[in-house]
Amino acid sequence: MSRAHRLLRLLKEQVPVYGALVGLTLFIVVPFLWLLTSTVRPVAELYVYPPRWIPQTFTLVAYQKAFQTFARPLLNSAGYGLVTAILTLVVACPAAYSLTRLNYPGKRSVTGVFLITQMLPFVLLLLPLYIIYLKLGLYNTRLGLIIGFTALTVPYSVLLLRSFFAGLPIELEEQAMIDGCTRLGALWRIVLPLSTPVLVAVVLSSVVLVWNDVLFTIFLSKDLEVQTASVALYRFFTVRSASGGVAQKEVMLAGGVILTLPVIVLFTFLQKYIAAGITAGALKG
Amino acid sequence: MVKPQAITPAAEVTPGKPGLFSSRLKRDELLLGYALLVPSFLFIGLVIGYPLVRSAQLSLNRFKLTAGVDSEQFCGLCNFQSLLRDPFLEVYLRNQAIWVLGATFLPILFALILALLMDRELRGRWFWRSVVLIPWMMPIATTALTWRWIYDRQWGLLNYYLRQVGVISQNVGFLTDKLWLWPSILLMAMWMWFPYNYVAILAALQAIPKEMREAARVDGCTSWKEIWYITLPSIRPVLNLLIVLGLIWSMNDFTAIFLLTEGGPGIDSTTLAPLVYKVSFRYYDLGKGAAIGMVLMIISLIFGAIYLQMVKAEEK
Repeated sequence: MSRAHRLLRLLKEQVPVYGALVGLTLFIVVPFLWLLTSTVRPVAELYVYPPRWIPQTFTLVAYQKAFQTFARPLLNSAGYGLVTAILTLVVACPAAYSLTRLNYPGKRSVTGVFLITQMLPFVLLLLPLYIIYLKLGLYNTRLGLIIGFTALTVPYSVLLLRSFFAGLPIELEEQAMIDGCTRLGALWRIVLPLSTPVLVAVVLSSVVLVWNDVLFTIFLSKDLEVQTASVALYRFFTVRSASGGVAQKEVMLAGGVILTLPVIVLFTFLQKYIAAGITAGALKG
Repeated sequence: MVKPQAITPAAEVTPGKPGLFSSRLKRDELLLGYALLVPSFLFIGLVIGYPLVRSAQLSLNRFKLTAGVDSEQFCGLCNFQSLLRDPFLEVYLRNQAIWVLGATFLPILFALILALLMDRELRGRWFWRSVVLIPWMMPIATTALTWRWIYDRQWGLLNYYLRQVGVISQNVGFLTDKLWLWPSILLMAMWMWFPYNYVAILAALQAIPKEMREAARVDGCTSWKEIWYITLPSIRPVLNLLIVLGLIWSMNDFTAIFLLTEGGPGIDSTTLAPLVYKVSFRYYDLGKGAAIGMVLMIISLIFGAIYLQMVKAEEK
């Protein structure tokens, strides 16, 4: 085959592929880039026609304001995420251990309960939950929100941990127990240290669930003081702010970027664990 | 650390082998087994179990807060009948159908095309892979805010470009105009939900044995034929799972539509999940709200059962 020939064939094969990829990629990145570029300009340049991709003046004022506005909610999100993740591990690991290592009747039904919770329309639960939260004094409290989040993360985490534990060789634990380890000792000394990837996946998915949640937080709380950053953002762009005016667009958009950054950092550093989580838990029951 | 195994009779405690247990050990195991489940069931019971039972009960009672906080009374299926007689039922069901089908199949279709393109030796693989994950990483509040800004009637990017291309002659309200409402909602749904499907499909594609494709190529298959006869049938189980999962999730989804349009304008984008909220929290008809939610739940559970059957068949 002559050189020109090969080049021609390469072009014919590669050009459509890369062309299509570029097209699809544009659709994926344009909203994100537009969000980014909208936040680094003075307000006056936000409302221009035709829209400008590159602002004439570069400024980070919007971020400064957004950090002030969202400081408390951001701290709340991070705090709830961390506490929920730890609580989830404490609650879900024993359950998953029980489901994979102990024999007793009713195990299949228990697994079924965890599975069913993944398929419920959560909006159905909100009204009774709202009422019982009011009665128990959990409404609009940090404790109440953390309990709610944990209940959401536990079933998924148990299923994830269960399928991972089931794949671990049981011989090591047997050995440890022969050596005088108790069952829970074996869980703590043998199973958990071998399970780091899936534990990270559980922590990650819990943190992200709390970070992204809007539904539960709106219905189980009312004050920005205790609410998460996602909800604060939502409230700023739908509800008119308490002071009367509509919250400023550039502050909201910058808030949106700030909200995304920690997730990007987490995803980037923990990418392999996410893959582990998906293959272990999501597509299998 | 690890001592030789031989001497000890404690091999009896080896789990997973019935027959070897004494009945006391068995009972201990049962107690421990249940005890370890207790904490998770406390959380689930309070936040999911109790509200679920209470909703089931509410759905069979007539209970309107407008008639008093103690007006709750058993009425059998009255809420379901009231739902059937609802003059707007048709609108809700149409919205639900558009939303569920669109928000399930569009992301999967987009993911499939993208995965087929990406499943080869690419220059700058790292770049393409990272780009794809952007929508996944964005919290939904940011996603909704971004798209609202793009759809903005006056300053929005989309209005500008569509006018440039000549599709529209003057600015439209993408989230208020009946013609544009659903395409706009579904465009966002496609954008934010394709990554999950993409990752699953790409993994399935990469699991197809290379020999199969090479054989097809040797037999003179064109790439289209190869996709149709080799690739798609091989990843079909994964596609089926993704479709059923997508149906369940979009059916129950409240947040996406609520953040983008709040079900409006009027009821034009109100699907069943936001309807549950509206009927309970805004019209104070707690019985009917619960009834709609129960209908939604029963349909989801049917799809859930189908999903589990498929997973089981897959594992065999």
